[in-house]
Amino acid sequence: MEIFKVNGIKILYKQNKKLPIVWARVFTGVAAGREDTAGIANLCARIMSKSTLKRNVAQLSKDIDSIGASLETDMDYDFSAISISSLSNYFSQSLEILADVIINPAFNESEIEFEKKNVLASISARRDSISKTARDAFAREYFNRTPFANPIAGNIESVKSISKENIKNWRAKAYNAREILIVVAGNVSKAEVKVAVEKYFSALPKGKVLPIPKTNFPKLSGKRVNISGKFSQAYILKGYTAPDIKNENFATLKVITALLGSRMSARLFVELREKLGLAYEVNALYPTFVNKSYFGVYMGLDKKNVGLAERKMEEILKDLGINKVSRAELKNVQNYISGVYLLDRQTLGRQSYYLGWREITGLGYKYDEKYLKQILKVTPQDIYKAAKKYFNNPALTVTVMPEEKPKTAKLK
Amino acid sequence: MKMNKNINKVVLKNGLQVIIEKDASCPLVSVAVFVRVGAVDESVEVSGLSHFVEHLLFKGSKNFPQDSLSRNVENSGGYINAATSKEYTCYYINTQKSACTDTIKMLADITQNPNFPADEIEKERGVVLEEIARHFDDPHSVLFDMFTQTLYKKSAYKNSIIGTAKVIKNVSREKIIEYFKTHYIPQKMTVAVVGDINPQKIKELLNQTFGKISKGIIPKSPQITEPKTTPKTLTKKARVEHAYMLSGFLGPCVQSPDIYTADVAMYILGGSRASRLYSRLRDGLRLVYSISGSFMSVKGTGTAYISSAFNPKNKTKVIKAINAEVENIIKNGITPEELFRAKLSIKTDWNFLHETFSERAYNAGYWNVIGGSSVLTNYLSGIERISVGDVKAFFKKYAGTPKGAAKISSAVLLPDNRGKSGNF
Repeated sequence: MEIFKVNGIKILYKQNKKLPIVWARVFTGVAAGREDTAGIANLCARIMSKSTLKRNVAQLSKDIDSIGASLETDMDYDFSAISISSLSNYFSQSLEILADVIINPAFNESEIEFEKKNVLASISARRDSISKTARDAFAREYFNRTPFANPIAGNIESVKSISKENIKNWRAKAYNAREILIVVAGNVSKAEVKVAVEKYFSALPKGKVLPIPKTNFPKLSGKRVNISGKFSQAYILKGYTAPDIKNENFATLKVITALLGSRMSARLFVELREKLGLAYEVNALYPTFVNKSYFGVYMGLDKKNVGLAERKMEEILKDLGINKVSRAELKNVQNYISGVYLLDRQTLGRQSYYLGWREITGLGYKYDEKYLKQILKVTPQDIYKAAKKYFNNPALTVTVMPEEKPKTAKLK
Repeated sequence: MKMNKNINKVVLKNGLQVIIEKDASCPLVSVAVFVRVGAVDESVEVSGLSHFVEHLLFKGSKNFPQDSLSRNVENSGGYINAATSKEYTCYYINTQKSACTDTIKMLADITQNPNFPADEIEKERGVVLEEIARHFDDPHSVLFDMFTQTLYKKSAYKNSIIGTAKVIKNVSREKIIEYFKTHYIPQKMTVAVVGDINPQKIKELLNQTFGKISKGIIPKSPQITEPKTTPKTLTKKARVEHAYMLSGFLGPCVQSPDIYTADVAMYILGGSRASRLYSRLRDGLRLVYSISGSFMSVKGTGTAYISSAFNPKNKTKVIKAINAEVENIIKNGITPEELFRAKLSIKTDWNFLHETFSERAYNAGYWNVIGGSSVLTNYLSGIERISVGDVKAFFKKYAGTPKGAAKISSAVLLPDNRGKSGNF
């Protein structure tokens, strides 16, 4: 693993000769969490990867296909990435295409309008999923009026309002030599990487680092949001205020997530699914954010069991702040996290994704190793303290309930 | 990438097939157990039983009672899950190399000595009923069932994997055990082990564990050949936000050399942004939000899928345009450039697929259990042999009428326009 600069652009390079493949990812930290118009980061990346000044839509698609490559975008609140993967003997060509997309997007008016329609359809289609319906309602309430309150794709009104000028400005702000990080992982040499970046990225404007806008997160007061849904199942998502990745309790809350969810032997799974047979899907989540996050528990279930399930969920959470977790149980959870960590990082795609994410958000690429060490240091006392601190606060509860008297049958 | 010299295939004395691949590049191991039982083996009276059995195998076995299987796997840093398909059920564990021996012992025990505790069966009915409810709340799952029922009429591929709530509520423990005993026999099983292992020792261990399962009487094979049918479009209205459509046609079975052409042909039709369907229907005519195509090999009559989403007002145009693209290939064929791009992309995907032990174990087990073990060794050479003429002939043979018209069936979910739901 090495980090170096070419023409002022930071490069993170990891060689791996196991297979003849390579990933190149361009990360930027100017992402959805810094938006003034929701959905602009996503729309901008989509438009950039459609066509360039050199290549129209059809030509770009053909050129990617001609080297057997795949171009993709990864959007999150703290970072965005536009990436290309290919066989390593096509590395130079694939990097040329990636640079073209980053430096020379065409921003064709009619393509922008068409992509906006597609994005609007994807936002509407979120209402066809019970979990997304609940998750979106939760974020709207919890992150009220901040950029984190919207799905990455934005909302209907915001996306409709985005103009070509807005997109061009966003591109200039997010994808310049100072803001981006290029991660290359795979079967290519450092010299090849240097030559290719020098050759294809030299025209990238230097740009300037802009101050990170301050987000004023609202304070959570215990609240319920009840949605009457078109689904036959009911759904509960209950969330508590939880800290960001830099907080001293971050690793402890990640351990709690695996103690309660993620695994078949996790407490929520065992109590609510295995012992009571109430749900198929029951889990805990703690999104990794650089700013504020939340700790949530959720399940899909029959509406008649909502009351019972909610009581049980609360009991299970509160119990962590009453009875200390045994060292044996904690050890098992830590083993699980360490094991899955290795399994998850078998592919170059995942490795380059984690490295870039950590680096671009200011944690540093070495954080990925530190993270595991922090997980292994968590003690029963840490869990006890964190549970007391976070799970006694008011929760935000979102429920999606089937309509009382559906006018017609369900999807079936 | 060719199946390398580190892969061994062995048939144990009881007929159970084993695939072992050594790769010491990281200290991990993946074990996948495939049993050739799924929706195709079910009568209406037991619809969904293969999937229910899959759930119940996690409820303890003779030497690993209660939930000790999942607990042991997870406590030693592993991941465990299972899946049921039309024609196989798969149990897989991805874990640390140090846990390999225990992993094999446990998987062998649950697949031959499950306890099926009566009280656990009762509780698990509730879990599966919730899974069924979730299935019918999801447009993609509903559409998949509609599509297979449109395409398959005579063969058992028309059967639903998730099954019916009625069966799950009522099926007796005796019936469950009888079904299990009929199908979980070594002659219907494949075990794939990939990772940082000693192949000889693993072979011995498999002999001492999976090798001890008694042979059974192979049940009558289900009818899995679908005679050619007339294309049909099945449309249903539902509370969805836009139109979802699955279209396609019947393809070759796994034993046919045409499966290689099928992968190339469907890549050219809908496998990438440069494909015929994507470039024409999405980027050219702007009729769809998304569209893609692929081919799924099964033991019997395979399926070529085309998945799309669009504004409901475009439904007729989309169907017409898909037909037009297929007819264009039947009439005019494809270009050498398209063929080159498809072959290179498939080769690239194959390399990326080999990054993880879990994908390799799954891939090996899957091809073997559906009777196409030679595909593992021949895949890339099979793809390399395809000519432009083969692709044209493929569409003519499988997706065309004698006169060259497209023969595509579709299932469509359309919004019922009853307004938005919930608080939106």
